[in-house]
Amino acid sequence: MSDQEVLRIDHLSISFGGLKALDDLSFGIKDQEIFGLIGPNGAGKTTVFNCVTQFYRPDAGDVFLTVDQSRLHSRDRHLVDDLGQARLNLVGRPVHSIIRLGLVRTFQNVEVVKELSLLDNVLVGGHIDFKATMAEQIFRLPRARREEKTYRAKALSVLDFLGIGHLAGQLAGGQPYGVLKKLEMARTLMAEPRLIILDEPAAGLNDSETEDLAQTIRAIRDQYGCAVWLVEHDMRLVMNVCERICAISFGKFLALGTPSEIQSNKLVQEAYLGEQE
Amino acid sequence: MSTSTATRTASPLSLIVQPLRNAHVQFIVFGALLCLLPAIAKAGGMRNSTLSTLAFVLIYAIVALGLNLLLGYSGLISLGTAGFVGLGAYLAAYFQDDLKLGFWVALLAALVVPTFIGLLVGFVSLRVRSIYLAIASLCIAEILLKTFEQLDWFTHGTAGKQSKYPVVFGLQTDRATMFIIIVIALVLVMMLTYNTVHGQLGRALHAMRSSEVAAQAMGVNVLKYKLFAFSMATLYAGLGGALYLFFLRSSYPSTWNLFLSLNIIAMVVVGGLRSIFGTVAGAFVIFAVPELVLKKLPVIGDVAGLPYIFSGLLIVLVIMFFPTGLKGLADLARRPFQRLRANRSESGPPGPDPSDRVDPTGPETVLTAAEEVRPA
Repeated sequence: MSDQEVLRIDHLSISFGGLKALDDLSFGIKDQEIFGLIGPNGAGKTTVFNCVTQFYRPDAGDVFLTVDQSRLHSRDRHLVDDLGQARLNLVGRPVHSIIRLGLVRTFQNVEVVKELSLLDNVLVGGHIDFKATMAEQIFRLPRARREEKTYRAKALSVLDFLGIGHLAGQLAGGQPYGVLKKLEMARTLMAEPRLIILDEPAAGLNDSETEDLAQTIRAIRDQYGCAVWLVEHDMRLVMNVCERICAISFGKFLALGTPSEIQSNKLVQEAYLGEQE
Repeated sequence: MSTSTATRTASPLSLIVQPLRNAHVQFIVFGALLCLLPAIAKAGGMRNSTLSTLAFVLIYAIVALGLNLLLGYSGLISLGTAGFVGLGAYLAAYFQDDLKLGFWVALLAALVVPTFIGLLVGFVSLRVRSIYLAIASLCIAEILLKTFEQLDWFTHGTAGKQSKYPVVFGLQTDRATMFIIIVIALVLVMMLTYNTVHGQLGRALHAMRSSEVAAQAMGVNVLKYKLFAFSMATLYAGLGGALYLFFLRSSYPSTWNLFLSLNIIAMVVVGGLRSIFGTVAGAFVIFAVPELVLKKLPVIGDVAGLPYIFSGLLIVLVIMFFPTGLKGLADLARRPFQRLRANRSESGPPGPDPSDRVDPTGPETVLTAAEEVRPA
């Protein structure tokens, strides 16, 4: 883990009909870090990263992502620093452009295409890799064929890495929940992201599957060199796998620190257990 | 892939069967067989009216394939198909017979103008969804229909526009040659549709249908792909319209009504969403079965509005009891053979071939890719 930040959330605020879901929230995620965001129900965890991924437009505040030069659109090239990177403000960018910058997410209720094979589902995650134009694809010209072949091999290697390569040709519909969760992660890896956001990855998994998940998350970080940001309810998973944790409550920042620091933090305990007399 | 398949199959039969696994070869063989029909009709083996009915089946199959891209793959609905087919027909007639610009210019006009209007509908689809989109597209079709009735210089109104067989490459066409042109167009459309749905484009459409939010998170520009789906659907509709006119040599506004749009939807649903051959089969069932079979039955054949009742009943039955349509039926019929093949191959485990579980719209590509990387 380096000390460079891959993501900086800066004074983020958003309200829904008078209810302040996020209130001046700031924290940062470091490169290649496994980071956890926790908080009681309704704390605004999901809202935070919906603001980050631009599904919601924050009322105030900024979200800065550190982006490699190679991922930048030509119009952003002037922002590049000496290290060949740029800090881009994500706020206001179209949702579908975020993944190109190296930030990709999963969904709480696994959003896979049931009618496609696992392999094709992973290839959906490689959508942005394809350079062939629509016409090239419709007429199946050499570049379209070549890309399809290259990325099929890549998708298969990702599935193998997550241990579900033997299911590559099977339809996603009807697969067990654990496989679908892995499939979603495989899809994010296709984009070779710098930061992956996992939305409650342990939800609906049993104990052994959760243990497996913890290992998978570490393996992803080690293999792909990306930061992983978990938004999670399952305290055991968070405390087990995360290197730093941020706790929030009612949209406000509570504490940031290592798992043990968070566990012993008074404010966090109060938020979860209620105030003690 | 060639090594692994070659070792698995050695019988002489496989030399014929193996190339048939390729979808494009299937389409071409299908087209070649269809091209025999005019000769059969000429030899007296089939009535000319039957040949005409089959020509309309193929024309509607082209249109239905376009709607399948919308409804089946992209999850978008349109009740306006007939309007665009009619527009294609009138444009072809106007450019060929009034402006005398020849077959190719007329065809091009019938493709370009509906596609452009389709793009506009695509923009509408960003704002309105599901049932509201259906209503919006129906309105556009009704506007087109009224235009066909009123715009005398363009359509000859309710009196109907008359045309003639086109001259293609200096050759005066007739019923038989037009039939072959229609077959060529259908085979091309089948191949292009196959390419469209089996690559990044198709996966983007799938993702968009499954969840727009997730598709966007994966980098799919929903605007771009909705516009694409609508323009493809209207392009196919325009092509179908032009072929209709060139074959029938007349067009009346009353043809391009809501019933035709609903029938095209019925073809897609009955044939099976997301199936290319299924759509063609659906077009046959919906259009040809009432014409060729039901109308000749005693008592039932005399019922007025028989095709309406037939396609209506069929839609209800398919949706309620067999949502995968004819495609699903074909898969069921194929299953025993696949099991047999799996049992025969020594290396493979007993029981169903793994390809059983693969989406039938793309088994070859998935399996060959898997074999390529890790030879068994």
